[in-house]
Amino acid sequence: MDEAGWLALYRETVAPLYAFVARRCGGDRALAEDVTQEAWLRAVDAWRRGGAPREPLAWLQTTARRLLIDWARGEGRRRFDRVELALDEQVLAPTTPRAVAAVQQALARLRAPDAALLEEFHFDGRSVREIATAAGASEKAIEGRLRRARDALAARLRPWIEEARTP
Amino acid sequence: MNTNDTVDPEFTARLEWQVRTALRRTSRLARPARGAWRVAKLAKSAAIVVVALTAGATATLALQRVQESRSAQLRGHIASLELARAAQRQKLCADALARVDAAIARGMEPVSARNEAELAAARGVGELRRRQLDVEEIAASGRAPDDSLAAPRVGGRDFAGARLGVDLDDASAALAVAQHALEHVQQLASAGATGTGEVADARAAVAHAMSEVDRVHARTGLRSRFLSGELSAARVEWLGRIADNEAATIRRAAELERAKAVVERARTLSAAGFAPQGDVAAAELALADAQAELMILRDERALLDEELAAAH
Repeated sequence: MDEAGWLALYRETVAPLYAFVARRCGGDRALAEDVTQEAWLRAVDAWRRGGAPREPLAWLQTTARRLLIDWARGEGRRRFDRVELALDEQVLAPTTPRAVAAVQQALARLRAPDAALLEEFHFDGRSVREIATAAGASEKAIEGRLRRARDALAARLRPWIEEARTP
Repeated sequence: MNTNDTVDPEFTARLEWQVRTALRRTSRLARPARGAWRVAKLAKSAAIVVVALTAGATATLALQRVQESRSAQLRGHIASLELARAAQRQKLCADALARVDAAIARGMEPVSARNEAELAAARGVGELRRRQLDVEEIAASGRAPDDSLAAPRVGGRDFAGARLGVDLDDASAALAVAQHALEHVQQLASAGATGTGEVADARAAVAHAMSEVDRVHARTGLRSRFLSGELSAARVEWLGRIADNEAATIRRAAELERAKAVVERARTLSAAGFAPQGDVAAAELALADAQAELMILRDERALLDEELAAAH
């Protein structure tokens, strides 16, 4: 691939890659930019040696996800207030770096299909119907899997959630 | 925090420049191919150079070289300043140790007062050696110092290994000081001059220091195995993470024991009316934290083992 090809690929993928990362960073723009940058520079290194993969964006997203998990591990796990994390049937929204780190670590410890399902629904904004169609399953089955995955995630996060103290 | 997931055009442009730079750097520094392939590659490179020249890329490349050279200069300058600061700090620590020694000789300070000053002086020396190595590595490579286990040799020298040697000296000094402190506290406790809580704290400090020595020792061994070609870059990094995890697990286990002792003590004092119930709650919270941290480290270890097994 020549430089023009590389740059076309870069321009095609950078915005969706950034959006993918930003949705997982609780709006922390600096973190999202760092991860996006590192993912793309790793791509340059890997693709120059082995050629670009068939699905470059998927490769970049997987790399970005691993970088985020590594970052979360480096951050360590700190307790956080419940208000730093919105988690219910429709929302999974960590709003501070420590809540983002805890969610990333908890997701990394879930069964891979459960983590992927939660990410698709909560971070990528795909509807139950879309996920069900892609998976060839019923919407009811997907709703059930989502509920169980959310429960598993909440259980992983529970020791780290500090209830707000009344003054 | 900003929840916007739209990329900033300024960031996109900056990263595009970095991607371009990385592409050109890897092209220029690519390992030469052999035989017919080499001829073909040279011809291709020559063609690219001609096209680049005609496209006016010369100016960009020159600008980029200047930029890289400036970055290396700046990095070297900052490292020299850090070295000067470390030298100053090391001198202050050595002076402080001399003052403590003089005070002990005059009977104005107990012998145990030497521990902290000795540790600070040892750390000062370690920091100075580390900064010296940084300056030398930057001068040799123009790049930031690389401390990873899979770092390449620079100019035939193993800087990452040398820094591990400094870490090992630091960790050994900390262990010696922690052991002295434990002996001292145990003597006081046997004379009834201090409680069991202080002994538990000193024991935890020794366990902590010992785990750090083991961790650095393990990393040093891994580094040697990587340099001898026995371990690949990926494998040595994984094994390094496992060594880190093992050390952290030992530390957390020691903290857990200490937290249990603190809870017991708080409960006893609270039952006798010498401490508020809040102290018990705080101690129990710290205990729950230590238990959870240990559980996570064990989970992480299982995950690392699985990933290592899957990768090999």
